[in-house]
Amino acid sequence: MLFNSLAYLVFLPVVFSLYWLVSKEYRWLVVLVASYCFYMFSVPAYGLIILGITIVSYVSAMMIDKTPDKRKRKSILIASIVVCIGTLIFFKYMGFVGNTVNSFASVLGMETDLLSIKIILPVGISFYTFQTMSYVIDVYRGLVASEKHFGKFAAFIAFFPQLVAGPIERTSNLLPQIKYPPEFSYDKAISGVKLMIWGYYKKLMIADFLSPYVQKVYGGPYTYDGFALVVATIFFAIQIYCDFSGYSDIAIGTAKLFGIDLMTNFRSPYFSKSVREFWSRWHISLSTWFRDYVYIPLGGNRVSRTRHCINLMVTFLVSGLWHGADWSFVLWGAIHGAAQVIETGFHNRKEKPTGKIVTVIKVLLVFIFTTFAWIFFVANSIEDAIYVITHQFNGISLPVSYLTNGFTTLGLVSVYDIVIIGIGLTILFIYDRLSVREDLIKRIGHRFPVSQWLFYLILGMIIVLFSQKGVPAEFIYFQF
Amino acid sequence: MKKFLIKVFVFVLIIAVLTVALNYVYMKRDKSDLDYTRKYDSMPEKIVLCNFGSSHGQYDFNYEGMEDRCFNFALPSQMPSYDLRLFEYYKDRFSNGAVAFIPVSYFSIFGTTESEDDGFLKKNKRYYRILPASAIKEYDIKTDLYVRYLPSITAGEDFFITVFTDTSTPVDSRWYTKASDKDITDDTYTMFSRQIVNYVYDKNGEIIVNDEEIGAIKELISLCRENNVRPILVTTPYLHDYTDIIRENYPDFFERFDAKVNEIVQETGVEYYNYAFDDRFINSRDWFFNCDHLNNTGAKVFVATLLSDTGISVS
Repeated sequence: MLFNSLAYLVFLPVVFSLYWLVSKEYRWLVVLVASYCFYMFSVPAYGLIILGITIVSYVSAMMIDKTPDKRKRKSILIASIVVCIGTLIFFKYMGFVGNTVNSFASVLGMETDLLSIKIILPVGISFYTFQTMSYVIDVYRGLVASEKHFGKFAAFIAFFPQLVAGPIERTSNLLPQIKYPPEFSYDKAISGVKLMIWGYYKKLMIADFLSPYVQKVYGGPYTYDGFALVVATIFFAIQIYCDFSGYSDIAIGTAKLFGIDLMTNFRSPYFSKSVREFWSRWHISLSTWFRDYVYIPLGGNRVSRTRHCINLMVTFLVSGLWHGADWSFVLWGAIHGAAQVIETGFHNRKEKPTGKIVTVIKVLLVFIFTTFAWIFFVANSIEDAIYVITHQFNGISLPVSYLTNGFTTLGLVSVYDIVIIGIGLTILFIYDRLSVREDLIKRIGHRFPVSQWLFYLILGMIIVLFSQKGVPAEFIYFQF
Repeated sequence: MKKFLIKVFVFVLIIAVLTVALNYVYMKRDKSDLDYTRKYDSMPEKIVLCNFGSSHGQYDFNYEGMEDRCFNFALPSQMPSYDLRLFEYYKDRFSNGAVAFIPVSYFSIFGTTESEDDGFLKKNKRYYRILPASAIKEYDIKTDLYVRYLPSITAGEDFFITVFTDTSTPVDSRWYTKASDKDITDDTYTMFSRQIVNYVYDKNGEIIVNDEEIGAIKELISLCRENNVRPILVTTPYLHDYTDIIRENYPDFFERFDAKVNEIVQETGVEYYNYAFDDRFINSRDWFFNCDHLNNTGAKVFVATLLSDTGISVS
């Protein structure tokens, strides 16, 4: 079920009512049933996959908890991780592995047709397998106790607001809130609604509005060159941010309606002054997951400089592969890893505060870098990405026609389109800029208690007017 | 909880009221006819002569002066299966002994199934205005709701254009131009690529026979007869530029097309008039606005020619 569907418009109030109507001890059951309905809405068979993974991690964690023998505990942990990763590989990477094997064989002059199976990727599998793995690892490390109540555990794994695209929650944060539901909090619920409105605004007003221009160019880049490629790439950088952070806002806002706090997933990432800072602000739940379960176990930065660099590269290569089963995603991860390695070389532990101009330059450079890296993320193949990179400055010697041709070939000629995009991005820019240091939603609520009504009504109307304009509305991160 | 619910209710209520109000303004201001369906609002009470078809029907039949008796059901890219659905729904509007011209273009009987086209859902929306739910392919209640009652919500940026500017669609200006006044070479090649190369033929260069649409033509013929309407198949005129380029690239194309149409004619006994190679039209660039569509004048001439060739008088 999509957050931006009519079905969800009915589903959410029903689940909300049921949740607060039943007594506290049965709220986990409402969450569990609602979450499975949410997940199985379009493809019922998906329920079996998540149920299987839930059973495996539940049993593994119980066994780990009960087994005093260290070696046995480790064996159970490995077996559990193999099942989770194996499921992910089966559904997500079989085609990729097959194609890679076939390509490698053809380089060696052999004809193979191995493993080139196309399997439909169950929505959200990358997210909930990571959540279950972190649970079992945390139990193994003794950070949390295994959950005895299967129903509550299953509700934790399948909690519908964050099930299909995160935030990837940690056991210590989410499970206690499912087990011991808090009392209804007016402030929390209202801030949840406001956050959802922001999320829908980002998704429907900005991401979906920019999407056709990006699709047009990256669907067949070879018919474009020059500034059109640059604009499409910048639009994608904004689109993916609004799409994914919009989803996270709606997820976190929805959870607040149930009195549950999910972790922050984005904090104005495009205002980062370094690539390292970018990753502390972008998809935080995944970045911290990789930090805690890949980077630190590899040794983190408490090793030699060479080993530290290797650890960074390995972490980002795996992160790239997590995002998509294609070499272009691996390359995208490698670019970010390499940037962090370079930054580490220049990193000064006693960094002095910089002036405003230097800060602006740093922010711009990081934005340009991340936008450049997105080319590999959005392009259908590495060849397409290389074409975009090598043709994006064609005609720049004639700057005026370079710019005007770019807009014209993109079809961005209507004053209305330009004004709408301009207004949408200006509001986003102000919101993100002010959100760097504080919770803007709270601030608006405190400082403008009456006029905030007008503000949210305008946002609400924009959402309604742009909610069904007929462009593909699926969230980008669903495919991961 | 009570305070929260009241606030959310008031918020939703205000949004709903504003939406209905803005939608009302939008519908009042929207004078555009982007999907060409407004003509259905002024359909004659009793139709004595009509035509169906795609843009070849839409542009090539000009009933100027006879609008009170004649009606043009054609819409761009309309397939015979929708001609059939339209006739089924509007059959009570036909006079006893009326005549229906059914254009058969190359892509009417060759090509992929309509619903497999990328633009199908967008094109299909227009039928929600003019047909009942049961007659619409891949009917979806949500689309129905938006198209009929809340068009402002699906308008996107067009909402502002409609509300703040004059959206009266000017008459299709192309229809009043002449192919003789312009170079149609590129346009001819584009049409050929779009209609023949990429639509009629598959990737292996084989013609795709569309049995579903052929079946719809046969059904339409039979339904016309059941309702005392005389069906006449017509292939509309083209400039020789268009047919030449097809013949150069696919020498046996016209034989294949004629054979398929003849099958229909043999099976149903329907009358068929093919103007694709008619000497009166193939060089008359003043009567076309591009290689395969007649202009305003040409369409009048064509209707007169048809009436004369078929011996029909519209009284």
